[in-house]
Amino acid sequence: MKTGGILSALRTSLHGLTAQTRRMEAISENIANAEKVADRSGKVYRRKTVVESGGTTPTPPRFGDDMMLELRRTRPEHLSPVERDSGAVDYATEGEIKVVEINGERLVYSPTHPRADADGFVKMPDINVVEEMVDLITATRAYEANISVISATKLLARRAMSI
Amino acid sequence: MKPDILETEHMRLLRKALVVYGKQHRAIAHNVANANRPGYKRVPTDFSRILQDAARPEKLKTTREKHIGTPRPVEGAAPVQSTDGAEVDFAREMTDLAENQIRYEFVTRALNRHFQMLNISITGKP
Repeated sequence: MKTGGILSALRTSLHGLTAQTRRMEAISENIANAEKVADRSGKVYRRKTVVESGGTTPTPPRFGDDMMLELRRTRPEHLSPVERDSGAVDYATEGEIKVVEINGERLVYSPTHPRADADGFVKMPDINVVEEMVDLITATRAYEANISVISATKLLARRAMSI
Repeated sequence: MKPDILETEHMRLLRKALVVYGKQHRAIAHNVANANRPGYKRVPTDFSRILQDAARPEKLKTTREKHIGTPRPVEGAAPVQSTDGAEVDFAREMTDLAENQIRYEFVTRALNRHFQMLNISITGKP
């Protein structure tokens, strides 16, 4: 469905919200598994990151006067002139959000650990908790910003309805 | 231009303003939603030039030297440095959002008043 009005900004914001939620999910999973040592087969948890890809680059809107179009009606079946959305910006197609896993492990010296190898090292995923926390804060702020935009959209729409 | 109480110059401008501010809002929403996307370039959100063009009065013809030409509308204050194509700055987008919101409210209020006055002139009742 393609809508050009101000409410379509809601869908744009919704996409932003989904992206931030996905990021937060990935981050919390990363933090939860940060200290998880490799299992018996030597497999280590792989750090997850969210990648947004695709999406069309929006074109600047045109402000033509095609709203003023006058259509002649010669038959009753003819449609009456419709107020057109002059030059909609194509913000509708958003990119997709993908979760990718990144390979990487670090060796921690812990000779008393039951899974330690001959040299006394255990394998852990390459996750820096501090880094994840920073990402988490960024995601939270971006989420809040999207929420603000949504409330603004609602207000604008309500004002437009009250004309 | 034919005289029409609904299609006045004033109404035309206000209607255009609604469209412009609505589009500005959508552009800002787009910027905020994609702010954290790596490599995202900010899209321009200031379309006020279209309104300036719409508000510009008819050109006055000057056939003699002493005729006065169309006064030039005063351009806005110091031009803000364009950040189109740069990374998204949340603070900037949020101020733009707030400003745009107030402008939109102003236009809807002006339209409301206009219709109220029309109503009064039609019905004769306040």
